[in-house]
Amino acid sequence: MNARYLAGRLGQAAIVLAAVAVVTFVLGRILPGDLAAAVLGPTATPEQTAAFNHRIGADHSAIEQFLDWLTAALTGDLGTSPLNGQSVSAALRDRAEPSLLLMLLAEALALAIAVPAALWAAYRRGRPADRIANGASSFLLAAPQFAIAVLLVYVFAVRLGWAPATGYTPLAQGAGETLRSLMLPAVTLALGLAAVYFRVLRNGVIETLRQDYILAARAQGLTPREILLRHALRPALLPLVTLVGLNFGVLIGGAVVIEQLFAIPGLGTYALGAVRAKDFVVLQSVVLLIAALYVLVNLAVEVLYGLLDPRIRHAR
Amino acid sequence: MPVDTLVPTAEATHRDKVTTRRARPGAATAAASVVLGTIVLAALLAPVLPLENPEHTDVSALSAGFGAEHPLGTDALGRDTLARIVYGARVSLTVGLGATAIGAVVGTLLGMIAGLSTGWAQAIVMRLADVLLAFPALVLALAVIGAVGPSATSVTLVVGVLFVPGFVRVVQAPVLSLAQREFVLACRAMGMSATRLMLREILPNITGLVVTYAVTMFGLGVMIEGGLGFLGMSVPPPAPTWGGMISEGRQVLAEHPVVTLTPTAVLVLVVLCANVLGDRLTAVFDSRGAML
Repeated sequence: MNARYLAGRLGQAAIVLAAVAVVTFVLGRILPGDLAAAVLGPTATPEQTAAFNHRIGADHSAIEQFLDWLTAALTGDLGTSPLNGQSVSAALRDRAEPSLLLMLLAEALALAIAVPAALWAAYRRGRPADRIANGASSFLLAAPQFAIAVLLVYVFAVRLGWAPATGYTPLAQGAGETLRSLMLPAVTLALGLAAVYFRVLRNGVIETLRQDYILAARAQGLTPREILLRHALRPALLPLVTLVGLNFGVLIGGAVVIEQLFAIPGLGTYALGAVRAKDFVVLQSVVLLIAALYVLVNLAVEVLYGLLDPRIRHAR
Repeated sequence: MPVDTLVPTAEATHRDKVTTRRARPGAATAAASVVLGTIVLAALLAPVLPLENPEHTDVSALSAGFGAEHPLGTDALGRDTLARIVYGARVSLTVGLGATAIGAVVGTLLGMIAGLSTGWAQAIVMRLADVLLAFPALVLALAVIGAVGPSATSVTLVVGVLFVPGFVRVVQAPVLSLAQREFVLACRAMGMSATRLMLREILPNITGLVVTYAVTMFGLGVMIEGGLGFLGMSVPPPAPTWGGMISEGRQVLAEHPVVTLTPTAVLVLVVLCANVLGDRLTAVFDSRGAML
């Protein structure tokens, strides 16, 4: 992983993001519906419409609009939503808290479930415990998130009343309440992720356990626990790093359905609201932010991968 | 206890054997094929099957449980759940199959081009795939579907486009290594055209891979259609979609959970069967690959 390689990857990431920006911009413009009509209502006079379009810059050419937006965005100013006059940058900051917390919580829970389960299942390969865990992961892989969410709401919110069915309590009002409000959505996301992580890690550990050095470790009289944790886990963790990174990116903006279902005011609901209101100023900013986080996280994963696995570093 | 459960009948012992036997891949694969086949057949034959009109409301049976008149019960508006599931399957399967076909054909073609050509063609295809992958897929889908209006066609097209980069990635890597093999070099040396080389020499070698991936993507397509239907962004109501049924059922979740749980179970079952078949195909093609 030398500096030149890294610079190349950074350049590629910049090109991808530029393309995302262009596509989002075009997409925002071809969405049917007139923003001015939506904001001003049917009684607006042509003068009012013209004034509104002038204020949001819609009377410039598309290329001018794009360049204006891009130069402002690069300096951190994402403009204001023409619908409610809210600053997009401020809204994104508010919306990022629940989304990021939900993502971190879901990843942590998923790993807490998947890593021990995968080690145990790989160690007891083919035994009942392994087959039960495999069956559970197949089932979870086939269950859409919203279906899991509905089941969890039914059991834990409607029947048991352990957690609220919807809503989000901001961190400012106490971490305990925040955690409680994020419990069901986080578990929903974590179960799906855990199923994927379990599969990859179990196969990785089984592969590692076949290696000669594991045989050597056993011959030296190491306990299964030491072999699993010290010798088998580390090499098998590598593919998982990629996957966890990928999912970080996917979860940032991909939890739209779950955020919507649990009424969490995150980036996903923000994007969905912008789509529904045809508010392209908000839409292009939120999509670009999500895409940028995705690209950066994946770049970071690639760098991390090189640090964790010396073989890759030398190969390049 | 009724006598017939104490004395095992021939049928019961047979069933016991099937369920207690160590789950071999064969049994699971057969079961998955039967389930998927039944649902596909039911969806195809829906107009001629003795089903109720899926949009007919029976006010005398609101949120009814399982029974003789409505085998799988009714929803909160008294609409027959079985009929809605079968008609909903038409939407789910159309989207699942259609989107997978679009993704497989376009993705495989682009993947082969990216794998065989070097330089700019490869760079363009792979960067395009990166761009599409970096997009928040669901937001993109919702924006486009919102723009053109939700229908089976628009949902299929959008999901199909979202499937393309995955197929490109799956195809490109093996084609890249196939391109170095002697038989490809020989074909090129003999002056075979690029099109013929792709279709006659490369394609047969990656078909297994594509089919395996396609089966899994079919399940994902059904799942995504469910998610869009859940958000009200698939075929609009009152036409039945599985996701829409699950979403509508939530209003009576506390009193009548079955209204939501039945379509949920069917959706999970279909995706599960697709995954089982996908896993089986992976195993088949893996062992074949190992022999090479």
